[in-house]
Amino acid sequence: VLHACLTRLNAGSEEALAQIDDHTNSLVYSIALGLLSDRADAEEVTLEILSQIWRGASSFRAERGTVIGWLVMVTRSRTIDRLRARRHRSSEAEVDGLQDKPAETPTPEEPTIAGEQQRRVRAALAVLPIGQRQLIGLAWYGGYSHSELAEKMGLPLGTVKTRLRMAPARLRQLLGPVGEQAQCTSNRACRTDRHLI
Amino acid sequence: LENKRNAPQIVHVELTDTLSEELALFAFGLLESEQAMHIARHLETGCAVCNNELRSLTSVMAGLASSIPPIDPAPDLKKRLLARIRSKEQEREQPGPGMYIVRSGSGNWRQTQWNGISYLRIYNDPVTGFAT
Repeated sequence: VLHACLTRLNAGSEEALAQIDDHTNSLVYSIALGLLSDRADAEEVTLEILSQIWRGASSFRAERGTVIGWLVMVTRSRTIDRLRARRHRSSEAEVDGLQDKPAETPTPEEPTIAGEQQRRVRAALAVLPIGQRQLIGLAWYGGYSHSELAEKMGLPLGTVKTRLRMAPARLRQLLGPVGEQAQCTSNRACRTDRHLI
Repeated sequence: LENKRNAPQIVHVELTDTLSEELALFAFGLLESEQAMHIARHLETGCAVCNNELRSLTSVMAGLASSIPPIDPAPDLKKRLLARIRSKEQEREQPGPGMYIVRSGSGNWRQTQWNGISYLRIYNDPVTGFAT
């Protein structure tokens, strides 16, 4: 459905955009909120992402994964840009305090939603060695560059890179098709539509 | 994937640990923007090794995202979104005085139901309904 909507967007269909919004705005908003801890900022990012999709839906490349995977990447990238810009404006200490404690959403290690998919992700994260698990948590919600992350964790840059290579590879094995089949179960519209990708 | 702005693009034949690390950093958004842009440009060249690895990484990212408890944004978000894109469209559609040059590759060209025929609205007067 989402793929078809992206194609229709290229032809300027507002209805397709509305449909994409129905299916993805909670996913985009939840990711942004987890990083930014600010509802107004997270909504602004959501609007930016969806406007960006409207302007350039063609930047999606099917050979690089699913629409949802692409959307997660785009959302994180845009949100992290905003977070870094905010850090430049505020004092480091103030932002550090904010990011160490994501205010409104738990880390992927602490899912609270029931459901097979969530349980499998949680179980997979629990199997990771503690160092990899911590890194994934910080990488997911920190919005730091790799050198900042190394400094924050007190690790050599090489170790951070190695762990970041190994953790997704292990998660991929553990999750099996979960990632490939990941749906935007976030939105009400998707909870009844299981054929999105 | 060295961070050299004008370095020639390479097509990789196998996935090394270094490549895998760089792509993981890219996928997680941990690179500085210039490094990230360099990798994005490399991916655009169509390097199958890197695009396949990224596909794999995005599936992990999608898996992680699926564990996030959903939070709905404000109910009026869709209304605001549609208002925003209409306003942007209108801004784009109001040409300044004098000659207005439209390049074939720029602007929001819309497809029609007829193959090979598309159109671009370059002027719209909401009062008179006159459009070009």
